[in-house]
Amino acid sequence: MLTEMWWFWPSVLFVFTFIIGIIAPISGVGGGVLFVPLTTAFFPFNVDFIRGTGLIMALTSSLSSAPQLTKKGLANIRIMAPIVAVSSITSIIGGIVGLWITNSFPEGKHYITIMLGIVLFIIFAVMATSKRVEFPEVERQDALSRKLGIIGAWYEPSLEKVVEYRTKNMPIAIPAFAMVGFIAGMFGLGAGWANVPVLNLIMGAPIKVATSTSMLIITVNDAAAAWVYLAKGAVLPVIVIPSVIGITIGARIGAKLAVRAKPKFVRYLVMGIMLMSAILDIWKGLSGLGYVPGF
Amino acid sequence: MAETDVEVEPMNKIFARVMELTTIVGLVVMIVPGLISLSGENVYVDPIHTVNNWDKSAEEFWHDAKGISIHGYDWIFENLERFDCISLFGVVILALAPMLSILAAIPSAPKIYKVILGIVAAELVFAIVRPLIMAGGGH
Repeated sequence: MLTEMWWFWPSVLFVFTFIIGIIAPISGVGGGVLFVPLTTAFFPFNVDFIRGTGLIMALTSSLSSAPQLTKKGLANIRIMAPIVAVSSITSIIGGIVGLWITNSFPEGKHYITIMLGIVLFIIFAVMATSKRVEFPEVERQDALSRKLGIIGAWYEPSLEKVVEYRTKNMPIAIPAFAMVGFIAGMFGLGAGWANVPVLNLIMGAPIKVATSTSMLIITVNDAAAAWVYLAKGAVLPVIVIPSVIGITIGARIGAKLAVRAKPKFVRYLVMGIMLMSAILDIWKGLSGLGYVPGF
Repeated sequence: MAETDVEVEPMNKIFARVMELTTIVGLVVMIVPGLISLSGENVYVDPIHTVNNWDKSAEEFWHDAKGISIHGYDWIFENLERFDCISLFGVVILALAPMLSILAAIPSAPKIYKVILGIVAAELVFAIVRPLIMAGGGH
């Protein structure tokens, strides 16, 4: 019965990612951050394929938006290049470690599921506590940022003028991005939830530059990690295609609804969902290891 | 004041143009054959085998669904007449997009960025060849 209706789960996946696509732009949360934990909790796919799909989804959506943002001056290679020189390597290592754990230990997938739940708690904490500064002031650049000439400008329609910016604290930011790259590669998450606060609050990039340059960083980090998953056969079109199409269509509708919706309410709703999936993932992992009853 | 008043560096412009083009090609190659592959016709992995094994780790999946062990990309390129493998070739193009964009941007980059972007490109080449070197390639 189940095998005859093999199209059932891809169809449900399409509807599911379509809904995630609508919610994500309204809440300001990346789709991958919702996709990976919720799919791990509720779908029958192994976490290897879910992470592979999450990575391709994040790669696809960042590749689709990064070129336009770069042409406008919002995403800047001067900021991205020194960061990804470090984080793309940690992203590859994350992918290798993640697949090694699930493939080398009989209980590997349960450990990964528990770790994913813990990472979700961290993401929740970051989202709940971090603030966004629209135009941070950078009085003094660090020596490295000065040497790299990290400056930029974009036309801001709300101010009707060109806004110039520069960044600071590159030596502090690089280790942070290295860690984020590792987590993104290991769990197949887009890493906007971490990239944006580091770029905005630590490096002093204006919020629009931070969100746009984060997209640019995700393209390189996720492309690097994608090879790990491709080479291990952890990317299945039957899971990837409905997910990518669902989230893409949903995101277009979500972007339009975002103008009218109450973002604060949706953001709290999404944070609640994340908290719930964190608990479910940890529970699922622990029940797989036999410590708690299954659900 | 118009948007054109912002001076975007040539390095950024070329990077964006190449990424845009590669992404369009990659998406078309991934999605169109991928949608056809959902019909279950002319695919490398039969949908029934997929459903029966997608709860297993990647290694176990390929062992049980196809009787093979995957270490590299040749299984994709050797089966490019199958719709699911063509779709994966689209994923390959998408994964190549950042590297191609970086390589295209290097000639117009300032001196120090030529070096940094060169390092990033080398890392991305390493990401591609690592599975081949470390696992001997093939399946």
